[in-house]
Amino acid sequence: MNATDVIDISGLRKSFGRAQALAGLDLRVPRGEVHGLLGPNGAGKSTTIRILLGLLRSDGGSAALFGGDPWKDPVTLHRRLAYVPGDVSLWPNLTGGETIDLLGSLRGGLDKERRDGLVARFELDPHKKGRAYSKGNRQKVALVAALASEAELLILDEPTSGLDPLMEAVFRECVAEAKERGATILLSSHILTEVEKLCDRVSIIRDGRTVDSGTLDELRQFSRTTINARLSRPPVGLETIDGVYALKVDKDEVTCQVDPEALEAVLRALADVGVRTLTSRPPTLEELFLHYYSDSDTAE
Amino acid sequence: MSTVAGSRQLVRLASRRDRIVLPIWLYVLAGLVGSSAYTIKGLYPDEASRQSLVVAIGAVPTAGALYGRLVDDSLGAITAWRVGVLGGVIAAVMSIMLVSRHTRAEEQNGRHELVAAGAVGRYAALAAALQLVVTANLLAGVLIGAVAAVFGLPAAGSFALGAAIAGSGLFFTGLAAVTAQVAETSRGANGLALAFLGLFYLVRAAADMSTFTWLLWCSPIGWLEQVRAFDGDRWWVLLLPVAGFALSVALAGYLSARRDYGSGLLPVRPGPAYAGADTRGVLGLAWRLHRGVLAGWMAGLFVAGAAFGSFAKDIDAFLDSARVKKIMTQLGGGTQDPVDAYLWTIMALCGLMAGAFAVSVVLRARSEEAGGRAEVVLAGGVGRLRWALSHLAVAAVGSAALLAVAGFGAGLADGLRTHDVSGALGSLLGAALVQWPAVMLVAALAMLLFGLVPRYANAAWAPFGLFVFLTLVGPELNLGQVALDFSPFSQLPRLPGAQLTAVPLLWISAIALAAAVAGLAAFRRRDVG
Repeated sequence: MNATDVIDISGLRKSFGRAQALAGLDLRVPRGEVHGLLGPNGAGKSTTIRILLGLLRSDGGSAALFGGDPWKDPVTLHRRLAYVPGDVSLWPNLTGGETIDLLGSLRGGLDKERRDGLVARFELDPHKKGRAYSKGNRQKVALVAALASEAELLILDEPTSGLDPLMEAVFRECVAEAKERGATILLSSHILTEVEKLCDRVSIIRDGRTVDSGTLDELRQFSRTTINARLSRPPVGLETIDGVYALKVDKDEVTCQVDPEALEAVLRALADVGVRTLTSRPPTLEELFLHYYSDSDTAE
Repeated sequence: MSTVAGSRQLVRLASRRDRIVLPIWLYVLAGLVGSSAYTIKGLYPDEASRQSLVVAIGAVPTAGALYGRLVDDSLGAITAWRVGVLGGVIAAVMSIMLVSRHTRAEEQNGRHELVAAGAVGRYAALAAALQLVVTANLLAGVLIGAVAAVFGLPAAGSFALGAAIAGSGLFFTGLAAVTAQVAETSRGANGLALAFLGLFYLVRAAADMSTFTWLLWCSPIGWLEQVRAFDGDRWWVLLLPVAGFALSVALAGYLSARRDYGSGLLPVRPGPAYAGADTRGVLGLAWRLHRGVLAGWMAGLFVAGAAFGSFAKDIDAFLDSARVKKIMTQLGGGTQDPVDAYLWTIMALCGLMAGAFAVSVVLRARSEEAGGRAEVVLAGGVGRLRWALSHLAVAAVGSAALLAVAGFGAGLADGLRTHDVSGALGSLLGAALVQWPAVMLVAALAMLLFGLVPRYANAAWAPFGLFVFLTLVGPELNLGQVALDFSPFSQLPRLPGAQLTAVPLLWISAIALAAAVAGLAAFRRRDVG
């Protein structure tokens, strides 16, 4: 365990009846980092967050927040964090402005100037009653309440799923500012461009386990490279090399995805028939995630 | 008709969702009539005993405050007198809850949007809800008739009684369809319709306790009495609730076509941009959530207390014979003075109402949790214990305030008539507040269920319903003291008039405290969500 880790989870397990939500999940977020939590629906992202908040009790493994136990000591730990749930539900008879102040007061107050600034930047009408807000506006209420606080840790569960692109941009600015203040941010998201722009490191989880964790560059490093080449002659024997996927040969043009270990063999085979043009690119984030998410494609 | 296309599937969906609740309501209604018919037959076997009862009830208009006037001395008429109004109120509450649940509640939580986007007519949801609730009322009517007939009452009268109770349910089905258009939330729609029910009940009580008997025609609960089951069986009176239902449904349809989806008829005004000092912190939130409901209940209990309190003075005037006095004392449940016995009954009723409020407040904690709103609060610097206690605190303080205004209203009204305001205020405030430990016991039981089995927290209404039954109906069913003592409300000192003994208050409080502590401890240990 590292003293500078804000979040330190290892081997976390949780079952709901017979359904296993977490089966040994690991997650480590050092202070000051923006960490992306990625995974398909039902992977266990929200369960992880709820255990971190002390709302659910884990069945095994350990989860530490600021070095403390979120189940035993929620109140003091919660004063240091702010949370935006994935599905924001507001009190129907409280206005958005009242809700922001109320949530702030539960955490020990918020910066009024910053609060008003955020309300303006997110173009939120604070006079409306909770029941009158759309999904995106409900999310803005929760975001303003969280971002206006002095919290050391922001836990954001798919915070932009209801925001329009302009508001997403505002959100990104705000996260950057929070980071500048020194806040640590755990961001669960499906929006890959957002993750790519914001996150220092990501953890990818599936079926309640962490399948990979690192910077995006690191993740890419261990992933397949896409190669497109125009050759002098039709290639020979490419399909027999282990670690070559999605091979397409159209006369003298070849496209395929290659595991890092197979790169050398593929390049040699291509060179043998004469390469006229060659482009290779790292996997797009989308390919990366499809690779991790999909069942059929996992290379264990 | 294309405007109700899809309603058949929606009726099926609704009846599946209500497959447990609906039979319980029907069982309560049929059980109430059956058990009363059976025990009244045992209590008043001969003509003479029945006549003396009729004399007692007839001589004292106030005795009819709760149940209405008793005119005929047949077994059937006594049964109908005993269960008619109560059955009508239960049918009304059932209808109001069910209509809101399948119309406004669905719209409010967005599920109806999913349905309405299908090949479903504009009025399909309303039509489906009405079809379900009307069927439930008809079933209840038939069941009541059959049960009463099985216990040996004349068949025609039995079914007239069933129809009269179903008629009350039918009228309030229509009324609830209208309030579901007016209010924006199902809570508001329920509240509005229940306020009408309370008003109609008071109009009926005023009619039965005064010379203005024509007032009975102004209340759907009064119509129920005017059917005169077992005493003429005036079936034509049922045209009134049917006509009322038809008019309400037409109005509801008209209104629903003239409002936007998801909104009510009352305009939504913008609110404050900042939270006031009273909306901060976890107690502030609980106060905001409950204050509107509490204000409504306080107004209702003040009016009820004042109305029933003002009738107290009339009782002595009618007590001319020793026999009447004796019977009244028996009905009242043992206290010596009939006025005190009457006032005790009223205060016990107010205690039960305060209990209903307290249970609903504690159960709000569960709906906050299930709705995902507890999560954001508990993720703030708020301990679970404090959050759960904030709701319990509102239940405790709110129910004490309710009892105080009921006692104050009754004392004021009685005192003004007897020219002894301070004396009446003192004795009735005490009589009202002595109910408080029992109120807190039902609230604590709700907290216990919330902590242990959150999904079934609503089962807290079951012990409460049992206590209502034992307190209101139990004494006349000769259930025996052991059974009656099961209800904390029966254990309380019978103020005014009786000795104020601390022992029952202490052990009821002790059980309440234990249940609350156990519930809170269980809540701290379980998963939230």
